[in-house]
Amino acid sequence: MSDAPVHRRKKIEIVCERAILDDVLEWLREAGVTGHTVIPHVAGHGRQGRRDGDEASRILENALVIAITREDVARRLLRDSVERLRDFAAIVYLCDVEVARPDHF
Amino acid sequence: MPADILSLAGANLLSPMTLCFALGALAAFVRSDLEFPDAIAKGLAIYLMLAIGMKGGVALAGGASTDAILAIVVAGFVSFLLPVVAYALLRAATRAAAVDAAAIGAHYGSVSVVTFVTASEFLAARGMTFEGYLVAMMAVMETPAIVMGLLLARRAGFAGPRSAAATRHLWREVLFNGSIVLLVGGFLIGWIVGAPGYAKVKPFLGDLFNGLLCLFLLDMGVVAMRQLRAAPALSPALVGFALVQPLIGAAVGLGLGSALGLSVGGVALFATLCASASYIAVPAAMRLALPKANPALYLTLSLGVTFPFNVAIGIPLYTAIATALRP
Repeated sequence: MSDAPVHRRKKIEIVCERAILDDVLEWLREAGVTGHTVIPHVAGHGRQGRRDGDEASRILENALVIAITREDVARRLLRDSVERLRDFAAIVYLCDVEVARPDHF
Repeated sequence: MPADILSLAGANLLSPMTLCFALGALAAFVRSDLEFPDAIAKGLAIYLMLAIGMKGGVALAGGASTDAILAIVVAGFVSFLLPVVAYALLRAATRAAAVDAAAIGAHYGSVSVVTFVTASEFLAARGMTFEGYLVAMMAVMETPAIVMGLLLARRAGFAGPRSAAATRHLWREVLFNGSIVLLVGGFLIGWIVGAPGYAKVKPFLGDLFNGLLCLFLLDMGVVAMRQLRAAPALSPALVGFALVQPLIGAAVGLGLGSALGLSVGGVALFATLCASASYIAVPAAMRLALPKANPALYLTLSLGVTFPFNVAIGIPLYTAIATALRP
């Protein structure tokens, strides 16, 4: 077990409003991210007040996007997110992760 | 005539639909845990839109007239121009920023399907009929207001979506959102199958309609009141706008509907369409296109103020005036 090779990657997580989810996913693809996981219907509270999506148009609803990618790609995304997501409810952050199949990310 | 309005308003307030709406609002007001599962609320919305679309199509199955086409074109223009009126009113009478006024204007040029459905049942309960193509007029009114809202915002210096992908996404949202697909699709199905085909689905789409509408309005009462509770305090001027703008829209609808030669029920419904404000399709489009506009403002005005106003008071008022205009 301890002999297993360790491959370091970055995980980028984006909590964003449901309305821009498709745009965010396209942005990730264009940046070279090969895959992602979406957790829809997430609720919370932040600078834009309560975001629990409890209304008709669903524009107050959030989604969580998780993707694992190379460090350079992740850093570029983090940098570009400031301009890209400026007017929207969004939280972007990076974490260090280790993966077993580096060719997947 | 004032007595007519009062009796119509009283009858409307005591209809099962309006009372269910009030019950939902009361439940949310006292913070009851009453909640519709998402899937059921969505399912009810799909049912209502398909049913109302199909009913309209069946009514028009006799053949599309030039009257119908003219009325549909006029409806599109009204939707395009009403945001200008709303924008001017907001800028003159409230402190709304230009981008907020443009976004709110788009909501008031567009329409609320639920308000239309509630009005059509109000008329049906009184034995009043209306032209089937009113449904097509409604579908046409969803979108032009969004375009005008964006034009008003651009004039004030707010660009639309930044990337080409975001623009494509916006237009997909605007032109092919679920309610348009269901309304237009249901309308075409009804038009194709006509009365004999409709007879097969009438027990579900027709006879159960009022009961399911009660459930839907119960949920809408909860949703509208929650929106009102969660919203930051609105200025009296903005609340005033959300009550005056529907009256302006209704006046336009009453005038044009009469000029178009619609039936009394048709005039009342067209007035209701012009008075109503979108709270599903347009918020989604505005969030994408004008992110600097404050969603709490437009959602609260259209869903929290104008929608209940139309359901409780507007619909009987417009019907009474339409009746008085053409005895």
